[in-house]
Amino acid sequence: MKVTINDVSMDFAPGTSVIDAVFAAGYDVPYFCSQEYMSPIGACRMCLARVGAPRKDREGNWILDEETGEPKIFYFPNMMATCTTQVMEGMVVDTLSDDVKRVQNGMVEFTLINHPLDCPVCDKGGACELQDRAYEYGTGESRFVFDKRHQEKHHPLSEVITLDRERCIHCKRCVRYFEEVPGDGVLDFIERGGHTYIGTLEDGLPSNFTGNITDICPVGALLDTTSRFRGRNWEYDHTRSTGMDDAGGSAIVIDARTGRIERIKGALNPEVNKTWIDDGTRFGHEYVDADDRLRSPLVRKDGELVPATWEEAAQVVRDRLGGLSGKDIGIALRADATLEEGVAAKALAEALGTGQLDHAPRPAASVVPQQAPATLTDLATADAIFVVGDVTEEVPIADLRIKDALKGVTPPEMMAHGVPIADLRLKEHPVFHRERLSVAAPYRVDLMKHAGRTASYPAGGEAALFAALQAIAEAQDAKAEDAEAAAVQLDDGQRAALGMSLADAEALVRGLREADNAVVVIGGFVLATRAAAAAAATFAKAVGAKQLILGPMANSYGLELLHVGPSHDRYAYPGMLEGARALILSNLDPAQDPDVRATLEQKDFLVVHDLFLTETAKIADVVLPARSVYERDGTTVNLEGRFLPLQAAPVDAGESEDFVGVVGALGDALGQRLEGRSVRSARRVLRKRFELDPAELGPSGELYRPKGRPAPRVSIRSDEAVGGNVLVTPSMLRVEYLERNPHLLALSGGSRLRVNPADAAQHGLGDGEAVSLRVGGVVRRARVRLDAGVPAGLMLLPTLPEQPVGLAHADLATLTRDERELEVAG
Amino acid sequence: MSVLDIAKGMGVTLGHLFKRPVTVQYPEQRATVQPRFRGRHHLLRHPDTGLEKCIGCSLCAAACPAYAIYVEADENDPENPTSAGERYAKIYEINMLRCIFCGFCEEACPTGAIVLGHEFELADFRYQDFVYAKPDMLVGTKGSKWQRREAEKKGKDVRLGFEAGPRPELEGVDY
Amino acid sequence: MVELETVPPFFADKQELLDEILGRYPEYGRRSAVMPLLREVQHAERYVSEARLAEIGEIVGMHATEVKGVMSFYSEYHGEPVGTYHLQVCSTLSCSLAGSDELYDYLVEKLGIVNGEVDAEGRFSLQKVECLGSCGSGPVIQVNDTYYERVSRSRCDALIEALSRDEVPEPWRARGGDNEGADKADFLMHTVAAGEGETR
Repeated sequence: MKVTINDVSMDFAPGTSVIDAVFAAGYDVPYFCSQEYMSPIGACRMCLARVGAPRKDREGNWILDEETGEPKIFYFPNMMATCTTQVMEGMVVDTLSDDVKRVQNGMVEFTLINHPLDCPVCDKGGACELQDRAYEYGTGESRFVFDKRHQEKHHPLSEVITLDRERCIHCKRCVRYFEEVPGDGVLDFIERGGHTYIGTLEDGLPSNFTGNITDICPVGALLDTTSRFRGRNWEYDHTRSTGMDDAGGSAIVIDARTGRIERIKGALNPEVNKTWIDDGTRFGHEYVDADDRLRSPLVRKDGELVPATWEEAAQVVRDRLGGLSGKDIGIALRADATLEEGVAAKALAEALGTGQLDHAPRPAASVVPQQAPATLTDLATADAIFVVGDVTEEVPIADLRIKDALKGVTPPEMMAHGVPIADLRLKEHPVFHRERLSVAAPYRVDLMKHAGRTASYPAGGEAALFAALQAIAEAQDAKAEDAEAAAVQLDDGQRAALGMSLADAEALVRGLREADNAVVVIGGFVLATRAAAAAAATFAKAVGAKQLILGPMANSYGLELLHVGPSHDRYAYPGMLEGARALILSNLDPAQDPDVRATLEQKDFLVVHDLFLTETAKIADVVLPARSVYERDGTTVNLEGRFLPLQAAPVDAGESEDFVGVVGALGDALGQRLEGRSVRSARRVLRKRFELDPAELGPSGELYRPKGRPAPRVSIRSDEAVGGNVLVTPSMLRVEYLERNPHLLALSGGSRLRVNPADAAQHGLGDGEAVSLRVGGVVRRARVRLDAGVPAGLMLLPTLPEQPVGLAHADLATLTRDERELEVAG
Repeated sequence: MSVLDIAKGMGVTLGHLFKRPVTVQYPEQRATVQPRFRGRHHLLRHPDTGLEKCIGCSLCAAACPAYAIYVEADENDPENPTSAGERYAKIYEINMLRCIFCGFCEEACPTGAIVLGHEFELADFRYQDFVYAKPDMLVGTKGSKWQRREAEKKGKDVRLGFEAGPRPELEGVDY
Repeated sequence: MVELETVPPFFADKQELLDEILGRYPEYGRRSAVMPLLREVQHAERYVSEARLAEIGEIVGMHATEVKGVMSFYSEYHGEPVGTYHLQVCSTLSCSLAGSDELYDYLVEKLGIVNGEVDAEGRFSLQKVECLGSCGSGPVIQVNDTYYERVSRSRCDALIEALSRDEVPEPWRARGGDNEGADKADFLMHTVAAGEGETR
C-alpha cells in the first residue's frame, strides 16, 4: 500500500501500523507505550500525527479534488495515535507541521504533570525514553505550578525489582508484558485518574521472567535492585554477549563500571530471545564480583596454597606432569566452556597424549538431534508441541517461545528500522491456544498452567512413556490403513507409564501427527538414559515432529559437536575421577562428594581452574584463577545449533584466565605452540572444522547443521534404569553460585528441597527448614519447601554441574537439620 | 623619533618610581583574590539540617572535561541519612592534578552541592595526596591537605595565604 | 498468595445466580461478568475482600490483580469494610467549585475521620469520590445509595444528626427517577413550592 509520510512515498504491507511506516520512512514520532513484540494499545497518546486518506464514493470511485483532479485527501478530524492506526492505500501522514508539534508538546507537558523529575537520582537517567522525548519534543518548561502527586518512592515489587510509583507514566507496558509474554498476569492499574498506580495482589512476582519489565519501562519506575544507585547509564561499558546460564543462548548486554558487573540487560536477537531474558540470566551475575574471587594462581608449597605467578604455576604443572605418562592425565571442562576452550583442551590432551578428556555435565544421550532438528523459531510457530521435562527451568527462553506459539502470531518481519514497534496482529489480553501444548513431567511444572494436556508420569519412566505413546501411534497407523483394526490396546503398565488418560494420549498423538509443524521438546529427564532418548527420537519420527533437545548447560551442544570427549567409555568424567593419576579440572567441583574427595586426595597431581576456592580447589596442588562466563571471548552453540559470539566485559578479575589462557601458559612451559593457545589460534581450528568464521558472526549468530550424522559418542552413564528417591531437577538459577548472589538468594530463599507434605510429615520436616542431605554422594544443603505438586515418595532438588538431572539415590539417614543456617536476607 | 619622545618615555618610568608597588610579597603577605576566583572545591551542606547537598548523581563527573571526578553513590539509611532524599555520594573524589578549575561541575550540579572556592595553595608531595575525597572538601574543612597536615604538626590553625570578598554560593564556607 | 481456603467461596451455593450472570455474555466475553459479580459481593458483604477478588478472577478468567484494578476504578466497590453510613463526597470540578472541599474538611472535623477511614463505632465512613453525575446541584454527598444535594453546612449537620439516630432523612431535593421512593409528583410539587427554576 502506497503511503506518503511527509515527503516520502513508500509501499507497505497491509496491516502495517502508521508508526512503523513513519519510522521506516526515516521520520520520528515520540512514543512510550508501544513496545516491540507487544500489543499496541495507544495508552500514552504521544505518537500523534495528522493522518488522512482518500475516500471512495458509493460507486467505488475515488472522490477527486475538484481543483487538482487527484483523489481528495480527507484528514481525520483529530490527530491520530499512529501506533493503533493501520496504513491505508494512498494515506498521507504528516509528522512535521506546527499543528503536530503543538499536540506533541502538549502531550509531553501533560505526561510530565505528575512526573517528579528527579532525574539526577534516578537510575534510568541518561537512558530514559521520557527524558529523551521531553528533550526532543517538549517545550522545556511547565506551566503546572501545583503540588505533584505523591506516592510510594521505592516499593519493592520483589527482591530484585523496585517500583517508584511517582515516576510511573501509566504506559501499561509492564502490565501487558506479564499478560502477553510469560502469560502470567500479576500487575495491573489500581485506582483511577491521577491516583492510578501499578500494583499487585500477589506476594512478589511469581514468574521466571520478571526482570524484563525493568528493560521496557520507559521511565525509571521499574528498576533493577541489583544495580540500584550503582552508576549512571553513561558511565557503564556496554558489552553485548550471550547468556551462558542455560542452553538458550539469549543475547545480553553486560553493563560494567570500574571493573565490576553492575547489571545485565536483554538484547535483541530476533531468532532466539527476541529481547527477553530470564531472571537467572539477568540477576545471577553478582557472584562475579564476590570478595573471595581468586585473583592469582596458587601453588601448594609445604602443604599450604600460596600465591604464585602464572609462569611459576605453569612450571610446577610441567614438572609434576612430566613424571607421569600421558594416559594417566585427565582433563575435564564444565559444559559452559566456549568452543575455543574446547579446542584448547583438545590440543592440550593431544600434546599430553591422553584420551581422558571430557566435559561435564554430559547426559547419557546425545544433545544433538539425529534427525529433524527444530529451531526456536520452529517452536514459536509450531501448532502442536509436546514437552517432556521442565522447560521453564532448563531453557527458560524456550518457555517464552512456546507461549509465542500458543498466541499463534508468527514472529514479525523485520522492517527498515528493525523490529516493528507496533505489530497490529498482537492484541491485548491474548488468547492462549492451550490445546496446542501438552506437557509431561514427573511433577507439577510451571508450564502445565498453560498446557491443554498434562501428564504426570512416574519419575524415571521416560522410556516407558515414549514406548506407550509409540504403541498408540502404531495402533493409529494400523487403524488408518484398516478401519477394521483393533482399537488401541495398552496393558496396565503402559497406561501407568502414560500418566494421563488413554483418550488424552490418543488426542496428543493425533494432534502431533496432524499438525503442520509439530515439535517435541526433549528435556533433561529424557536425556538421562539412552533408552529414553532413543524412544523419544523414534516417537518424534513416527509422528513427523521436529525435535528440540534441551542440553544441560550453555555449550553442551557445541562441545559435543566439537567432540570434547573421551576416547573410551571408561575415560569419561566419572571414570577419570577414579582412574587418572593426575587431573586438570576447569570449573568443576567434584569434591563436594566426600568419597570423591578421598579419591582426589590420593591423586599424584591435581590442578583446579576455578573462580573460587572450592572444596576441590582446597585439596588441589595448583589452583588457577578462572574467568567467569562474562569475561570470556569466544563462541558458544545454543540448543538449536546456532553459533553465538561471546564478548568479554571489562571486569577486574586480577590475573584470571579462561582455559585458552591456561593452555597458552602450559604450552609455553612445555615449549610447544599448541593450537588453542589463543582465541585466534583456536578460531583457526574452528573455521576449518565448521566452515564458518566465529570472528564474523552476526548479532543473530549463525545456524549450523552438521553434515551427515554426528560421530558416535561414548556414553557417560550406564544404561540400566536408574532408580532413586530424589529427582534432581533442572534449575534456572545456578545453585553453585546462589550463595554469592545476595539478591537472588533472597528472592529464591536458597536451594530448595521440594517435598510432598505427606512425606515431610513422615520425615518430620517443616516448611522453610534448612537441611543437609547426601544425594548421590554429594552433600547438599537446602531449604525444605512443601509442595503438593511433588509425587509422594520423591524429593526434588535443583541440579549442580556435578549432579546431573535425573533420579539419584539419597540416604535419608544422612538427612539432618543444617546447623549452619543458610543465610537468607529478609 | 626625537629626544623629546625619549624624555617623555623616561618621564613615565620615573613617575612609576613614586607609586605604590603592585607586587605582593606572597607568602609573607596575603594575596587578595577576586570574589569570583575559582579555586579548590567545597562540598556544601544544607545549612538548616546539616545534611549533605550532594546526591551522588555524577553529573559533575559527566560534565568534567578533564575526567577529574569520580563518584560512587549509595542508598541513604532512612534512619540516619547522609543527604536529603534516597541517594548520597558514598565516594566523591576529585583529582586536583587533573582538575582545570573550569567550574563546569558547579554549573552541572542540580543541587548546588559543589562550588569552587578561593583556595589555591594545593601544592603537595605525593600523587595520592592530590586526590581529594569527601572529608577534604566538605564544608568546615579549611585549607589544602598539606596545609592541614602542617597545621596539625605545628598545633596551629591553618593559615590561608589570601583574602577574598564574599561569594553568595559559598554558603557556610568560612575562611 | 491469597489464602482461599480460609473463607468459603461466595458463589459456591449460588450456582443459579452465577449461571444467570454468566449467561448474559457470550463465552468469549466472559470477562464482562466481572462487574455484576463484584456488585453481588458488594451488595451482600458491603465490601469485596481479596479472597473474593481471587474467586471472581477464577470464575471469569482474570487474575486477581486485574479484578482489583476494575474494582478500584469504581467508587461503588470497597476493598475494606465501610461504616453503616458510607458518606461519599464528590470532589470533581463542579462540586469543588460549589464548596465540596470545604464540606469535606467540615466532615473530617465533625466525624474525626479522613478519606478512607471508618469511625470507631463503625457507623460512618468517609470517602472522596470523583463525579457523582449531579453537577448542577453540588456539593453532593452520597450516603450509601442516596444522593443529598446542595449540602450546606446546616443541612450537613442535620443529616449527620439524623444518621446518628439511625434515621435516614428523605433527600431534600428529589431528582426524578434516580432515588428510590422519590415520587415524580412529589418532585414537581417540591420544585413549584420552592420556586426553583432548575429541572433535572
